[in-house]
Amino acid sequence: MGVSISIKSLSFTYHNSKQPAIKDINGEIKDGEFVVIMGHGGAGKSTLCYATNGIVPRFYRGGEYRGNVYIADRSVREFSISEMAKTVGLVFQDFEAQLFSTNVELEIAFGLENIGLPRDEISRRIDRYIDFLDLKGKRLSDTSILSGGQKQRLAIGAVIAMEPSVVVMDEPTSDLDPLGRAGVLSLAGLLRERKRTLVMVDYDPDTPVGADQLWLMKDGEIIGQGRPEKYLSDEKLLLSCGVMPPQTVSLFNRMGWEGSPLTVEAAKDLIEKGNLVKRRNQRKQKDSYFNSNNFFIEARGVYFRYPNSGNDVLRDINFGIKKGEFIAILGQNGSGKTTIAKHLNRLLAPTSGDILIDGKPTTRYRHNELARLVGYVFQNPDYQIFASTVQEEVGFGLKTLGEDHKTIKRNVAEALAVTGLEGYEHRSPFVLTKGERQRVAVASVLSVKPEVIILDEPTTGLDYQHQRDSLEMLKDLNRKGHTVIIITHSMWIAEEYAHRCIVMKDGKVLDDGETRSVFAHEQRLSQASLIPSPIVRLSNWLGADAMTVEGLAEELKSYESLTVSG
Amino acid sequence: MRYAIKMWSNTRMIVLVAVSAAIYAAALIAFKTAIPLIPGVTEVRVAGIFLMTFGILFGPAGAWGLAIGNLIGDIFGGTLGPASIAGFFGNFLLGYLPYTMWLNFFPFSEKSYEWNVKNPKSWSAYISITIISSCSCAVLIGLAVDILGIVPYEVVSRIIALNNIVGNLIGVVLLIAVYELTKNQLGLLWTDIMGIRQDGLSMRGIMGSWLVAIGSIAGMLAGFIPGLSVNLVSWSSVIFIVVGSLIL
Amino acid sequence: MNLSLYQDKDTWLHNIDPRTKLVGVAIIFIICLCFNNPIYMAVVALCVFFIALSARAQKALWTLRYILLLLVIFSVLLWPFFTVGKTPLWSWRFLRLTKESLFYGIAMGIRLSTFVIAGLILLSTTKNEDITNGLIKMKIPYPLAFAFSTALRLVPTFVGAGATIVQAQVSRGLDLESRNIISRFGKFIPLAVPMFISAIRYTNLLSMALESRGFSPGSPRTLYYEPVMKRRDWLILSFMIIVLIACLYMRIFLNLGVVMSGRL
Repeated sequence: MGVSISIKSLSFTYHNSKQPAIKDINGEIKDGEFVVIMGHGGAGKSTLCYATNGIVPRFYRGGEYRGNVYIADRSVREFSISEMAKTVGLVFQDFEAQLFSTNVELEIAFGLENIGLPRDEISRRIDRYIDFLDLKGKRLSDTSILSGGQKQRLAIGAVIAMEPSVVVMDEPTSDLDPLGRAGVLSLAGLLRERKRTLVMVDYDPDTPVGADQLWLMKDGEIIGQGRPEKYLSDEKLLLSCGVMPPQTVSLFNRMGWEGSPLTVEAAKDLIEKGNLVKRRNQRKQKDSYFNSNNFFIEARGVYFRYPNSGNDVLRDINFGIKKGEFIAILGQNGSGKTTIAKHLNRLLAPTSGDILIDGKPTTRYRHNELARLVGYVFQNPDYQIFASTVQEEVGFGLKTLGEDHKTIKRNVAEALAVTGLEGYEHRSPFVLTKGERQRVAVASVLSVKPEVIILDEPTTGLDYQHQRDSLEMLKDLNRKGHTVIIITHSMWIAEEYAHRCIVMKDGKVLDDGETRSVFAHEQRLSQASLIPSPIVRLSNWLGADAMTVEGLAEELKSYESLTVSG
Repeated sequence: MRYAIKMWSNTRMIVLVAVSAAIYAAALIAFKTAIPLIPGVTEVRVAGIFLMTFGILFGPAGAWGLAIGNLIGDIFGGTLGPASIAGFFGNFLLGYLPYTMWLNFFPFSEKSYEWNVKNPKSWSAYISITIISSCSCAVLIGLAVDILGIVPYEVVSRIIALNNIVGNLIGVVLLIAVYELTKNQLGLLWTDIMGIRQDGLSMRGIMGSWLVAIGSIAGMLAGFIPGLSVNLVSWSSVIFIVVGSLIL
Repeated sequence: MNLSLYQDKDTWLHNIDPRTKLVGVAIIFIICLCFNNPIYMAVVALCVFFIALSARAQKALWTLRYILLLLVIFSVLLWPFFTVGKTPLWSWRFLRLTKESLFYGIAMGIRLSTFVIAGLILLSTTKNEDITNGLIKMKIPYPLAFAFSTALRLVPTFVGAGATIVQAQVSRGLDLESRNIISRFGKFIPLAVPMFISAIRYTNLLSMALESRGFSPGSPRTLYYEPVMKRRDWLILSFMIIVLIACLYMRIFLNLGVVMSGRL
């Protein structure tokens, strides 16, 4: 087998930066291998990807580049990016930014047009690759009507149609819902079957299972490189790289059981073979959650459709929310999650039905009254940040609500303290990292001290450690009395943090109840194409109650002590 | 003019044209305040906030961006017509004059292509060029729509000029807010993208700037100069502006 | 978000070459400029209106009805006071109204509406990419055409972002409903800054993705959709050129269709 990619003592420092983004990287990837790269935010994963097709150093002037990258024995730095495009296909995280054409076949043709292939060859390639993408009926569809997952598949297909010998994907699924992610991963699987060399940056410990190599990155360096099994069972190493360890491995470590199963199936096998613990019948979960009438927020028969549109985005939504709850709204994109959440502070108003806040319909509040009751943090913090200092940004809401200077100062200080942004007062919010900007957005909503705070996908784009940090912050807020509602695609987040889950599908509430009971019904969740995280699947199989690794370990240990004492 | 041509061989500048055009057009559409000043021709243009910022930060890419953005505004607004051609060139000037006159509009000009909030020269350049570029655009579009029989010159030129000046004066807040990020973090200052070292003050540049300046101010005074017809003044103003812009 | 005026139908205008439509609309614009007599203008307008009906563009026209109405009213009210004719009708202090200037105003109202309708015929029957392809085939440099089509594609995304930004700021208490125009301008700073920044962060990514797909300005490239001029296109163009010549002849040599000489 030939060597596809060979990296020799590669270092790169961006212009204006003191620290190198990647340091002394070495590695060799053979033809047809599948390599997964993992690491914390800012570990240098993207920089490494960019070095494979010459974006680094060509695109970043004034940077310092040392070492070499060879793709099939050609030194990358000697070619322009557009020339490298014929040998290396690079897929980015942001699917919107990679589409340039108006319809699907033109998008596939775009790269081929650029390299000047004759028209009949372009047409042959489109025929060849469109099936592969599972987009056949959509050949002439406008790209803007595709779902996120379809767009990302198209972006991959458009790259593959150029028939590069290497495909590199930089977090191709981070912006997708679970369904979209599954589609992209199955496409990656097809590529592997066809023996295409594939390099993929990802965050999920499931992805490298079965890969040829795993590269673990930390602070610009590779600190682990080799067979995935070896590194996936090393919980400490993974955590130090900001990667979530496989939950099944963590559980086995905590229980002191032999073996490091990487998947739920492997864990079940080991448990059964070693007779490690007895399965029980799962306790009947309470299904209903509603026997209260002091709801703070109430949705009554809410229907919604956008003006000039024929179909309802929300259909007959009913629920009540009490003060002090921590709720997760789950569902695929387009299921109506964000739409219903936006109703809660009247960014949208029902076409029919009512949203009551404190017993009064939202339509009878003024906007600035609602701003004090229900705060809404948008998914992309860049959609609201505008001020030149963090302090001014966080105080903006209070200022527009006409608060006096002293109150503003006090509330801003409090909000910054809660979000861990003390000392940032006079910094410009624009130059902060994505995670920090997210916190500024949360702080600017918190400063108004709303009863309820809604967060739309607050953890998208953050690494494991930062996700944990933000959620701990939300947990803290919840403990202080705020009602917290998050919209999320991340099952483990809902399982670990939410008291209650509302599952949406096609504009309807599919399930609503205590988190444990919602996640006990794997069948029902699968109707919304949601799959519980490994630990909950294992917990369900064992008939246990817990939903976290720690919780399950404790619970299982308590069984053991019961058996021993009994 | 040379940078406005040369930029088309740089991918990042081309993308900047597209992005700034899209921002401008989207702002024309999304923030439409439903106060058409003259229906189909001009409305209260909140998008005017972006003009100088695009010109100063993105240079020629900003100029082409404004030109294309305005055209796209017409396309999505359903008001595509012969006046769109004048709109194209008028809006081009709104982005073109800021970066070409920045060093050349002596004695108001800056010494470097950078914007420095603490330097009074930056302010004098900003304010003087705001007035000149807004008026040049107004004179050019005004004459065209008058000839086409859309709106009389005397009415439309003043509305457009005022609209752009107000937008640009408020727009300085935008420039201050985004300058650092765009230049240092994103590396998108046009002179950095195109790898241009600082140009010096040139006789040719000063001449061009002043031709444009004279043309635009005279154009605004059309109708108030005794003995000279509006027609004569507006035509000669446009000639001054076009010639001045070409040698800039 | 769908902002495009394109109507997905199957009429003869949908099927002809985009170049024919671009040139054809330009010819209609010039014909409109030949006359300033309201009767002649009305004939031109009626023809264009029938073409619009044959393109089944009435729905798009209907959405623009207020603009069309305002255009006519504005012209009729404004022009008479800025042009001078021979036959006085009415005067008050320094305001004078003449028959010719009134007719000119009416003609201009019709002309502007015709501009809008003709533009709309092009936009409602031609997809954005076909306009771009037509432009490329008419020798517009590819990088310029690419910037144009990319901007067209990005506009709906950014308009969507703009709407979200408005929501985000309103939910923080920003009041956009003030009457005063100047203060309204000022309130757009919290909207303009995020709009600018969220879009501009995109630029580097877009350029990287573009070059990674082999884009290189100035290099020769294939055009996958090649519009082809058919016999029908040449026939339509010839016909329109003949009409144009006839109109120019009427105006220049026969001086027909003029109420206000010295103006287009």
